[in-house]
Amino acid sequence: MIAVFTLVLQILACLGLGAGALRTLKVLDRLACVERLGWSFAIGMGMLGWLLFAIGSLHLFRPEILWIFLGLAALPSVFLWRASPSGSFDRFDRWQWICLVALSLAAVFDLLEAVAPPADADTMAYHFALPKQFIESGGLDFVPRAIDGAIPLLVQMTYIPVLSLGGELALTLWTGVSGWGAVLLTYAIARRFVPRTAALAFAVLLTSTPAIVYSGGSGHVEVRLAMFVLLAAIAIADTARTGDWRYAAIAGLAVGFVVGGKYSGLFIALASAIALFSALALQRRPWVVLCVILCMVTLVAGGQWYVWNWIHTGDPVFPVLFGLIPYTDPTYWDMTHQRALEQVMAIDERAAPINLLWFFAYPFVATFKGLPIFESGRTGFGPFVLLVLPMAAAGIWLYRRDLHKSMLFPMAVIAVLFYAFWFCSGFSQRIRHLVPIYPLALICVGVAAVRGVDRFGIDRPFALAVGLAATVQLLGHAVFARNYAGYAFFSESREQFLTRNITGYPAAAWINANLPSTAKVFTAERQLIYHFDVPAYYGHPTDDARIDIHPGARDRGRFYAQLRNQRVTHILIRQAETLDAESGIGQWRGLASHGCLRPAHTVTVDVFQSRTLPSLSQTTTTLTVLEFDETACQAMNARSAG
Amino acid sequence: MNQRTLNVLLFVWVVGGFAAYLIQFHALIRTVLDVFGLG
Repeated sequence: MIAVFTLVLQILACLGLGAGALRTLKVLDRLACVERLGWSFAIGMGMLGWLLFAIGSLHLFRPEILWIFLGLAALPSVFLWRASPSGSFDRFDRWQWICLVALSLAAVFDLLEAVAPPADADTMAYHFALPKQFIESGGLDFVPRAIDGAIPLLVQMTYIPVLSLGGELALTLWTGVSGWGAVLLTYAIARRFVPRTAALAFAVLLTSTPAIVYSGGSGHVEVRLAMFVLLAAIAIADTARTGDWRYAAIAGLAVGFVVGGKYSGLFIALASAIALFSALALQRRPWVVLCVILCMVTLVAGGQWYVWNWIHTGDPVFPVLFGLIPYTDPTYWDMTHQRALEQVMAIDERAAPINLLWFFAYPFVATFKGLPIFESGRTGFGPFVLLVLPMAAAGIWLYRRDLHKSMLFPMAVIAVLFYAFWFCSGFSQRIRHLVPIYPLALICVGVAAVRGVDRFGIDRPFALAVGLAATVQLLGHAVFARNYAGYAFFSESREQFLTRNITGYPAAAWINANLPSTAKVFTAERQLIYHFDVPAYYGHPTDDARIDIHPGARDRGRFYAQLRNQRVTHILIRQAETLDAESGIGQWRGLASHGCLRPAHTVTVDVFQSRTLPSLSQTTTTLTVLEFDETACQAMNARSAG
Repeated sequence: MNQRTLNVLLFVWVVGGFAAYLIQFHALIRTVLDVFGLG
């Protein structure tokens, strides 16, 4: 009950903060009803994350303060109900009812995921683990780990009130609900250009897109960033249409929230500034003041995490500028890890060379035969955009002379430029990094296709494309939800569900049951971090230099000193992966051979490649909990010193 | 090009594209059918 109450309060807090901001800017009454909800929720969620940074940096993550904060933030939501109603309501026709049924099905599938315990690996490693850590310490701690520690955490800040006040169920319900913000905005924006049936169809296609299904209900930030990108794009389009500074300010807020949510948000910021400039300049409108407003508001709304990183490391985009500017603490990062990380990015995260051919080929290859690194098969974007491409091309050709005047122009510029920046940057080529711009691409292509369909009378092939894509995506969504239905309907316990879904969960359960709260566990088993009740140190071969386990590291004395420096008392290791090597994560063997580490518990566990379809690949591995023997360790150190 | 020809061509594109999309999942589809006892 408390979980649902907290969830509702946080939703109202988002709506309240957003509605308050829109009313202050005198924009609320200009929006259609569904836009008011979508815009308010997006702005409010961003503001919530922004304000929670301030609360956390003052170490005020205390329940009473979070209750008061959410309660006060929810108050302005009354503006939403008092805003003058807009437009009349038409009855739904048959096709619209079919879309609503499809949306309801998707909502039920998402609800099944939301009521189950969290099990996604990235979510366990940091999306949920960091908020849990911050709540336990009462405020923000700097985590000097590349990729998933010292990063912009605006979205994860919104996980803190729900987890702190409503518990884990409130948190998973929140990720389930907040993932639908992008769907609501997609419908609201599409409604400006196409009839209600098409807008509802776009919403169905978006919510059932495999990449959205995969990450929407988890702690991943991309779907929530997509909501901010949608708001930024439509606000930029409105700025270009009206020349009103208020829309530029709203766009700046939304762009800032993307920047504050992920490093790649910087690409969105650059693309948005270019989109606004080009849209205004092509229409011969004054652009300087509006672009300055956009950039300044973006800086304020999104700059805090970069200042936070700069204060703690000297690098606002840790560790991108390593070697270019001085670092404040040399233990946080070194050249060895810099090179190892660059190698991982070049080999493990990049399957296609960065050239013009692959720039154009990537969307097609990722759709029809994705390379494993793209992760575009089971978690890709589905077939819709490519199926309606000829119809969209026809629509674009029809309006080719006035394209730059269209409200879709700046939206398309943002999507295309972000894709270009992302592809050329050498960033991870996993397709989910494109999720923030996918709804924009869906709207732009979808609206252009509808224009072509209307003009050339090709509605049947278009309807077939929508029907096929939506059907196969919803079937995939149902298969995804089947795993969670087991928990919801078949009396499966939390422990049973987690054992069935998370590699090594029994080891975490043993640690929680048997180790004292004074213990601290070092492990590279990232999928377990959130589920530890005792303090845990998440070690990483390339992302963390404080405890050096990069593949070439082979110094047991230094390894021991680093572990003890972090007050580690136990180590959890996976024996199968380390073989007999005494380097990297295998350095524990050097300590064990001197009796400094001894086994405390060993468990054989299932290894899952896919939670949805565990039968795709099922093997077992052995996890061992090792504990320090201080006497043996001191003897080992004495021998080494001698 | 008349409208009928255009529609036929687009039908071929949509059905062909959809089939090409599904081919990559043939092993996955078989697994899903097995899961539901339909394999």
